[in-house]
This record gives sequence, structure tokens and C-alpha cells, in this order.
Amino acid sequence: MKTKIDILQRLFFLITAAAVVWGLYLAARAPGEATQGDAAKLLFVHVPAAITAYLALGVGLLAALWYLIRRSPAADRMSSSAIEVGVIFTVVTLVSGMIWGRAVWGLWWDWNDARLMSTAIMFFYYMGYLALRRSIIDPEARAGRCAVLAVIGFIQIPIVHYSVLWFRTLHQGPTILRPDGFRSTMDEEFALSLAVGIMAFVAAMTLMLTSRLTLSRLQDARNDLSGLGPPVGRGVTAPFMGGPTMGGPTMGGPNG
Amino acid sequence: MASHPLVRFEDAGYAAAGTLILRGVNLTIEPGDILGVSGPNGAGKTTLLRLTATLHRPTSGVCSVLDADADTRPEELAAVRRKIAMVGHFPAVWPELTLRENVELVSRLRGDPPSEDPLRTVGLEALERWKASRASLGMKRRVEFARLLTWTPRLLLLDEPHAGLDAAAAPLVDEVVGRVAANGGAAVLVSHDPGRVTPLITRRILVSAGEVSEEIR
Amino acid sequence: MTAEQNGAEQKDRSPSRRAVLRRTFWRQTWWVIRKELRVELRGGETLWMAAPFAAMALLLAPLALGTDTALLRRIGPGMLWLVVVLFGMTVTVRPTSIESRPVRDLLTLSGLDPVAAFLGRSGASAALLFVFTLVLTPVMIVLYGPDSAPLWGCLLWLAVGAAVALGLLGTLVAALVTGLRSRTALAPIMSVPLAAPVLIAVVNGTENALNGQPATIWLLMLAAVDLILLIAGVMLAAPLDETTR
Repeated sequence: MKTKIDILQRLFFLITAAAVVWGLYLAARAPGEATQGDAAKLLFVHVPAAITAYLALGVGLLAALWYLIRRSPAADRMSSSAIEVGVIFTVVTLVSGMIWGRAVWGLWWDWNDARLMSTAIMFFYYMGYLALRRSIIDPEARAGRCAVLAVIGFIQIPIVHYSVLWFRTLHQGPTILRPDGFRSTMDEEFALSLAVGIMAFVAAMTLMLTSRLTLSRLQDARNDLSGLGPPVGRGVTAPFMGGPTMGGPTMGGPNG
Repeated sequence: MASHPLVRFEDAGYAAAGTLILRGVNLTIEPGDILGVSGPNGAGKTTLLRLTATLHRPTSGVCSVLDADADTRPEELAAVRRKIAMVGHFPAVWPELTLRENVELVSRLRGDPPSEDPLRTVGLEALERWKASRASLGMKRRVEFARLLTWTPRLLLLDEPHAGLDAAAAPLVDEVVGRVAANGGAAVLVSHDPGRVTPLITRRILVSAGEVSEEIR
Repeated sequence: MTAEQNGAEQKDRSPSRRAVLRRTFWRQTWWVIRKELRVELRGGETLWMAAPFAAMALLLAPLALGTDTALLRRIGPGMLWLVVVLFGMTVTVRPTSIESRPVRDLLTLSGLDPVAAFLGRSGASAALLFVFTLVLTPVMIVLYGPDSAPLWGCLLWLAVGAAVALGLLGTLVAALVTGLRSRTALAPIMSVPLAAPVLIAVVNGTENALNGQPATIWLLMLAAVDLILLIAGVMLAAPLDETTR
């Protein structure tokens, strides 16, 4: 039984690796863009990373809602793992966006770029989520409060996405997910490279998420095993009087 | 026919953060019972009290308090909780409010009708405008008992009620406990000092290393 | 209990009992607001501690940015709102509004509705934040000398909208960090990112108002943020309350 899952996981790992290699190959082969040159190829990292981050954080939200309805520890594990993975992809989005900005506009941080700004805000918010998780010891309280925080935080995502439209800045408007429908403005080869890139990123995210879930499950199982030994009251014994620290002839330490 | 129990534990256990605190608790509390609970430090006395107050839910088994259990809907649970009073280890007062405001706020939130001045009964009338942050432990305890004089709970839970109270104020405990029992309610008294609660209690239980046993007198 | 039984019970409930419940709810909300404001009046954390500290920030900022009059004239309103958003968080998570565990137990057993408690605390925080903004505004005008003759009515509504949003947000976050040792460090990192839309709306709205243009769109955005936070808070108050025991 276990070996079957192992084989499946290895197979999935190979598929992910193949998708990543294929994506890189297509990106390398794609012609440089007219005005931006090779820097435009960062699109094949930046956009898939952003989509994957949203996807992971979306999974985190749904699992958090599921937790609030069902109070299932599995939902808490799913929510926290997905958010953790989502934060990693948010970092990739931010860093690739900054490098792109540097190459194209000559600035690491383009203050006119509202989307970069809101992604950074989102990143800090989820840092707060991870900090809250670390601060609460009781698993039930931690799960409940973190689920609430995830639900509140997800209000942020649409604001991040549509901030581009609200601020009307210089940033390239959303190319893939236009609010007026899914009308692609790119040529086919470009679209294929991007699609493979997205696939590779989503596959990598899934792989990370399943590994993180396995880890959380093991952590929870260990806590269950170690915790439910004898009741805590057994650990409290009667004070031991007459020892070296409690009166008696040896008072004053070993050299006394 | 036996009367309907106020509290019923059936093989109830409680674990928090992976640590087992109580296990296999079987206990019923009937109307009129005044239960004395004793046991060493860390045995689980306070947890037992919090389970009885519906502030914790058991992690295994059943704990039914005034017919409320894990399946009870929130608004009904809130109604049940309004019939329970608990005086815990540490006094529950707002330090910035005066002693009078501390009593008044709770009765306003509860929506109790106005009653005779409870602060006078507990002997704090002269200090009613003192902020609770200036009050001693004993005064805060008296404030908590003043709150209990404005209504009669069905279930009264006291954790070391005599701690901090002087000899003159000690009869307050008897008064409140007696009133609850006389009205068909029940009281649970946790105490390290059996001598002080013995005259009141009708039953005695022992909590030791997470297990509850009935003591036969 | 089946859904049918639930439905039957709901129908069974007479309108008078529901009216009593509603009265209880608003009475509890009102007494929570009263208590919070009374405690603030005695402790003075907002007026005598947070507000002077925020005013100091307004005074020091030009030392860091340069004291060029034209520059200050331009950044003044933005600085005011930045300070309100950042320092306002110390108002919503003020230590005197933090209740000890015995008090939380007492409130639960007194039948305090978690939603009433949330609304009461948010209401008190919003009122304090509004006063906080009112105190800081003249300080900003004196120090930065922004262009005068704005639409005062519009500014007033912006301040109200921002105070309500920050009050709701701060109360939600304060509930999340209840009883944690690291709460004072945790609360700002969780609340300030969510306050970004408030800052954007109120700053852009103020810019419009100072130029004599109506800020309707930004007021609507603030109202939308207020509404979203209100709905989120009302829906999450009860499950959050369960996690604080």
C-alpha cells in the first residue's frame, strides 16, 4: 500500500521535473520581445508564480472555511500548509517582479506599480499569519484563530488584483485575467510557453503542498502519541525535604 | 423516581495541546448537592471546574451541564451559561472600574432587575468609589460575592473561595452556597483546606492525577 | 437534532421573545461601549499617550524628509493619515481594553453575546480613533500648512469612514491575539497590511477634497471596506470567541 503511494509520488515528481525542463526550454527558445528584449522572458516565471501563489492561498482560504464549518484537524493542516507554500510563491512573484522592473524600467522598486506594492502588502500579511501560528500553543485555538485570519486575509486578494485598475498606473494591465473576459492578446507560441510555465509551477506547488501535508500529519501524530501518556498530575510529586537544598547538615554546599 | 441530574459526566476526558489532564471522569451532580473537591497540585481540579462551567468541552466522553452538551446550539448554550456562576482562582475585576461599577456592569450585561445594595451586604459600601486596581485580594473577592447576591445561579462553582477572605467575610461563602442549594441548584467547592468547607458540603470527591473518585465519609 | 426540529423550534419562538433577545443584544452592545469609553477616560491611553506620540511623529518627519515648504504642503495630508493608520493601531489594541482570563470567563457566563461584544468594542475604538484624528488634524495643519479652503464636510466623512474601518479591523485583530504573550508585536503586523485600502481611499479622498473636488468614489470605497469588515466581524465573532478559552 505504502509503496504504491511512493511510486505515485515519484512519478509525480518526474512529471513536475519534466514540466519545469520543458517550460525552461520553451522560455529559452521564445524570441525576445521588441522593446523589452530578453527581460520579457521573466514573464514565464513572474506570471506563473503569481497565479500559483493565488491558487495556493485560495486553497488555504477554502480549507480555512472548511475548518470553521467542520472543525477538522485535516482542514487546518491543509489550510496552513497551502498558505505556507503560497507565501513561498509570493516571494518568487515579488523577486521576479523586482528583477523585471530593474531590467525594463531601471528601478528595483517601481513606486508607480500598484500591483508590486499590493503583493508586498499581501506578503507581509501572510508573514503575520505565520507569526500568529507560531505564537499559539493549543492546537484547537491555533487552528480556529488562524482560520479566521486566513478568511479575513483573503479579502485582500481581490483588492490586490484589481488595484491595477483602481490606481490606473503605468503597470502593464492584467494580460491573462482581464475583467472583461479571457481574451488573450498574445501570439500562440508565447501562449504555449506561458501555459507550460504555469503547468510546471502548479505541479511544483502541488508537490510542495503534499510534502508539507505529510510533514504536518506526522507532527500531529507525534503530538498525539507523546501527549496521551499518563495525566500531567502524575508529574507533580511531594516536595523532597532533607536534601542538600533543604536544610539538614549538608546546608552550605559541598565545600561547606 | 430519581431527580434529573444537573451535571452528568460519562467517561469524560480532557486533553489540551497534546497533554492529558483528566480521563475517565464519571460524575453526576444532583440538585441540592454541595460538592467538595480536593486533590494535590496539578491533579486537574480547575479543569474539572471549567468543564462543569462549559468553558471547556471534553475531548472524549460526555459532559452534559444543565442539559447542554457538545451538540447544543450557541444561543441555547448562552442561555445555559447565564445560569452558571464561577468564582475562579484569580478575581475577575476590571482594574480601571470602581468597585460599584464592577458589580453594576455584570448585572447590566446579564439584564438582572435592580436589587438591594449588594455592596452594603458585603461590607464595601464605604469604598464603592475605589478603583478595583487599588483593592486588595480580599476586597476583590467580596466584589465577586456581591455580584452573586443579585441573582441565584443554578450551578455555583467556587475555586478556593476562602482565599483572601478574612474571618468576618467567610460567612459570605456559606450564605451564597446555602441559597443556591435551597433553590434546587448545586454548588462545587474546590479547596485545599478541608476544614473550612466541611460544615457545608454534602459530598466529597478526590481528584488525583487526572482521575476523579468519590470519597466515602 | 434534525433540521426539521430546528425549523419547528424557530417557528415556535414568539415575536416577543425575539424582541427581548434583540433588546438584550443592543443593551449589551451599549454597556460594552460605555465600559470601554469610561476606562479610556480614566486611563487616557488614546488622548494622553497615543496622540502626543503620533504628534511627535508629525513633528519629526520633516526633519527626516526636509523642511522645504512646498514639499511639506504637498505631503501634509498623507502624513496625517499615515500616522493615524499606524499609531491608530496602538489605540485599537490599547492595553486597558485587554481583558484578563477570569474577566473573559465572567463575560461568557454572563451571557454576553460575542457579536454584541465585537460591535461594542469596535464602536468604542472607532469613536476614540475619530477623536484621535480630530486632535491630530490641527497639529498637521500648523506644522505642514497644506492648501486651505477644502471641502470640510467631505473630510469629516472620510475621517468617520476611516475611524470605523480601523476600529473594526483593530478589534478583530485584538480578538485574534487575545491571551498571547506576543500580542503587542503581533497585532500591528496583522492589522496594518489590511489597513492599506483604508489608507489609499482616505489619502486620495483627501487630495480630492483639498482640490475642491468631491471624493464620492473614495467615500464609497471606504464604505465598502467598512461593510466588508463589519460582515466579516459579525460572522467571525462567535467562532473566534470559542478559541479564547
